[in-house]
Amino acid sequence: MPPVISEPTEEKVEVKLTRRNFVGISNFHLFTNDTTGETVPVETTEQEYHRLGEKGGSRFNPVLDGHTWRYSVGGAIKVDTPNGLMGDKEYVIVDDRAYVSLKDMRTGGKVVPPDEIIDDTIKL
Amino acid sequence: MAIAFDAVGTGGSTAAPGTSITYAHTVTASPTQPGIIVSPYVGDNNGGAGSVSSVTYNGDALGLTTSINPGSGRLLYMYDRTACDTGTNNVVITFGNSLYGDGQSTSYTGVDQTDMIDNTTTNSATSNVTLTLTTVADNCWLVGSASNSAVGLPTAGTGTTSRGTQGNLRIGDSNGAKTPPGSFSMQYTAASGLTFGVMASIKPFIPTTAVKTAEGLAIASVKTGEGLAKASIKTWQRLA
Repeated sequence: MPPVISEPTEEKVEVKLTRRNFVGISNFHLFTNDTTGETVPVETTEQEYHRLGEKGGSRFNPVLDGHTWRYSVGGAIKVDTPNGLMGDKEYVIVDDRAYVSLKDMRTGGKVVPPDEIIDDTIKL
Repeated sequence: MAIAFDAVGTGGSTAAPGTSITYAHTVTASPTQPGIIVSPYVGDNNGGAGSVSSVTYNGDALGLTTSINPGSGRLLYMYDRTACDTGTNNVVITFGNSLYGDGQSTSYTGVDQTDMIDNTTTNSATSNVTLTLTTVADNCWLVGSASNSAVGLPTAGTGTTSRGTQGNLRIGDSNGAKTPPGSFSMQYTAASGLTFGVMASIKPFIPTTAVKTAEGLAIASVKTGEGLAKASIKTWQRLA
């Protein structure tokens, strides 16, 4: 583990969140719609995901008409939304960790202890 | 052979926290002597519980070049693989836990095929960070990446040519050889917060001379590097 370096104090802001429920661990391909630019997740199996990383695995890279494959995520946290992924300013608690999705915030996604979220609000 | 920038690749788990991310990176087949640099970034607030456990390219493991932990669970790494496979292949970054992470990679041609890493450094500073190291070999390039705690994505500053961005991560290089060996820098800038980065110097491929004998006569094949002929001639029965 790299040595810890001190960080300047930053002013914190409160962000209201929506809680989602944990469904399970899954794997997703992430595509971009070539027309709208929208991110489109497509769930895949663990076997199909892992073969992407094997020698010559790029021949299995996913394709979707009208879309460009950007990347895939393995061992991903799936929640109870229509596409299985958290939206902006949503969070889910899995075991002793809270995963907070902040797509437009300066911090990006955060993983924090659950007690840092009080009344569905987090200070960042 | 001079070093040249080849390509950039990106991937991240900003859409969903996960234990690994996979994305494609195309390393040009020609000119040869390729090498790939992968820089993973981990955003995690659990005291560093999230970290990178391995990086592969086309199934081959990369070695850890250097890393920095600027606090608040953020971690920035650099991995490298000399003489990597060419073509379109996948980069896989595996984390030690489910987390949000980003990855970027750049590839270069004309790099040393034994170990392209010449020297490394890390640094962090408020707003603007300057990464400085002393190169050992002549005609090295500088390759570095950086992130920022306040704005997320820093800007390429003095001495830095941006090659791409992914999430909170920017990767760049010196876009040219550093000669003669000495102290050189790259800079990343931001309006506020802590900017932190990792950097390495990569050294060029130096062609060697192959001398074979045929019927008692030495036959030399001499190649040029940077426009200069470099020959290594051994003797056979006291005759060159």
